[in-house]
Amino acid sequence: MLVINQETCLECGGCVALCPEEALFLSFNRLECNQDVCTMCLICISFCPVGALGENHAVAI
Amino acid sequence: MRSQYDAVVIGAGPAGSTAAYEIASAGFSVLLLEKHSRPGFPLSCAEAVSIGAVASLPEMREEWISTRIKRACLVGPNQCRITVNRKNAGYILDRPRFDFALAERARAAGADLVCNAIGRDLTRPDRLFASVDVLLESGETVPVEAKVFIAADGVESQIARTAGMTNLCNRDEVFAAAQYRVEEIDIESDVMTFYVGRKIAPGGYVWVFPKSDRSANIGIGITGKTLRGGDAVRMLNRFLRTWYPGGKIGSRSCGLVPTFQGTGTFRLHNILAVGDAARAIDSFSGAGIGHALSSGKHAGRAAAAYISGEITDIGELDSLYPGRYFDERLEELKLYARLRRAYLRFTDGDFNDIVYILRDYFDGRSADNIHVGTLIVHLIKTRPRLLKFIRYVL
Ligand SMILES: Cc1cc2nc3c(=O)[nH]c(=O)nc-3n(C[C@H](O)[C@H](O)[C@H](O)COP(=O)(O)OP(=O)(O)OC[C@H]3O[C@@H](n4cnc5c(N)ncnc54)[C@H](O)[C@@H]3O)c2cc1C
Ligand code: SF4
Ligand code: SF4
Repeated sequence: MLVINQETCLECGGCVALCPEEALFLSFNRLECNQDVCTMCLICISFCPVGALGENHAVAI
Repeated sequence: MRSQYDAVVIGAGPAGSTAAYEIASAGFSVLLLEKHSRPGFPLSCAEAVSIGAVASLPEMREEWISTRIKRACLVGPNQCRITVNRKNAGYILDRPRFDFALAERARAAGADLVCNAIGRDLTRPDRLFASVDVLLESGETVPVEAKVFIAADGVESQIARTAGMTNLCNRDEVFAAAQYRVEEIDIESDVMTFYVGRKIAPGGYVWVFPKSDRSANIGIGITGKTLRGGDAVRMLNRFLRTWYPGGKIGSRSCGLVPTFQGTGTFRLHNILAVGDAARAIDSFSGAGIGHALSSGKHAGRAAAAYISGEITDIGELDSLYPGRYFDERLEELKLYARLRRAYLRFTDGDFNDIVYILRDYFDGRSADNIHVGTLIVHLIKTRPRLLKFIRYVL
């Protein structure tokens, strides 16, 4: 699952421009991810200039 | 905010505010939507413009200018440097004030500026788009109808993309950028400095743009397949530790600087994309303010011509927008995109060579009226080895 560190995110919108699934949305002062359509392609994570995005490896049993 | 306008402009950056101003000045009703509580805030930009970039504005107010640039300095990987003089090269703006004033200009001309409002989905009952859903801070969504929509929502460019325009950016091509306002440093207020090299800023450069003689916008833009999240800010921190260890970090920002993606990202039916949303930018340096102003101007005028009935078929709009804008800027957009492809292949040795050659070339010579083509020819003549890059430029 994509994890957004809201404290670190500077709301630049860069990741939104890169997401092939249109899963990301920069709302009023907050980045949101629609986990239903995110495919964890990692593009946004590898881009974020401040490293605000990450992966949660929790495995569903 | 009404439920119907002649045009809706989404995003009150320089591109959107200019388009809205043109439409309102032609006597048509226009809604200018801005997500934030005021135009120009918050902002991630190094704020540099050339004199030419702002030449289309009727005035350049003193309060929009932080510093006036008269020299540019390039520092190579081995710290060799070259400084060139150019009379009236440009400005470092106070962009919050500049953006706010452009939005005010649109409002004074009759545009309806609504802040804290996000343009979201567009509906398209037949061939043309008919309305946009406006999301308000309360959570409420209101549809607004119009004849033309201007997508000026910056780099996110969500409006154009959800409508079906193919403007998705490629991570391997764009700049990942980070910037600090650094205070309490000693700096010459009329020189902008660029640091290049694969170690210092892979696929990009570090900029030091003076905001006064005691403060600067210091930032980095990097590109490449191997980048990882957080690299930009890590490299910026490293640069500051080396070059400005005593500097005090004020505001922090980051962003994506897009690259020109060809002519397909400017219009889709009755949606005109402008500025960053259209990827209208100098791909080499990342300068987008001038392109935002000129694409916004031409899109606004084209929208007004369509609303007035002067153009009846939407397809004919092309000759006005992006046509008129391309007449002015397409060659330049293409040239800088090609230069960037060559730049991405330079080694640190090439960078050092280039600095030395330019240093000899500009010895005692001013950079007024020098064309980039002239410089390229000179570089290749002096160092034929650089010819191998020419295929990326042609
Ligand atoms: C770190 C960095 C440094 C830069 N330095 C320079 C420089 O020195 N010189 C230069 O020329 N260019 C520079 N650029 C590029 C420049 O900032 C942009 O090209 C320019 O701001 C584009 O203007 P615009 O009007 O298209 O978009 P923006 O200025 O981004 O404005 C878009 C506006 O739309 C709003 N918005 C977004 N989505 C919505 C929505 N759905 N609904 C309503 N409102 C919305 C945003 O809040 C914003 O106000 C830099 C970019 C970065 C990232
Ligand atoms: S790229 Fe990073 S800082 Fe920018 S909006 Fe996305 S998560 Fe936030
Ligand atoms: S991981 Fe990929 S699909 Fe998921 S939000 Fe990021 S870019 Fe979009």
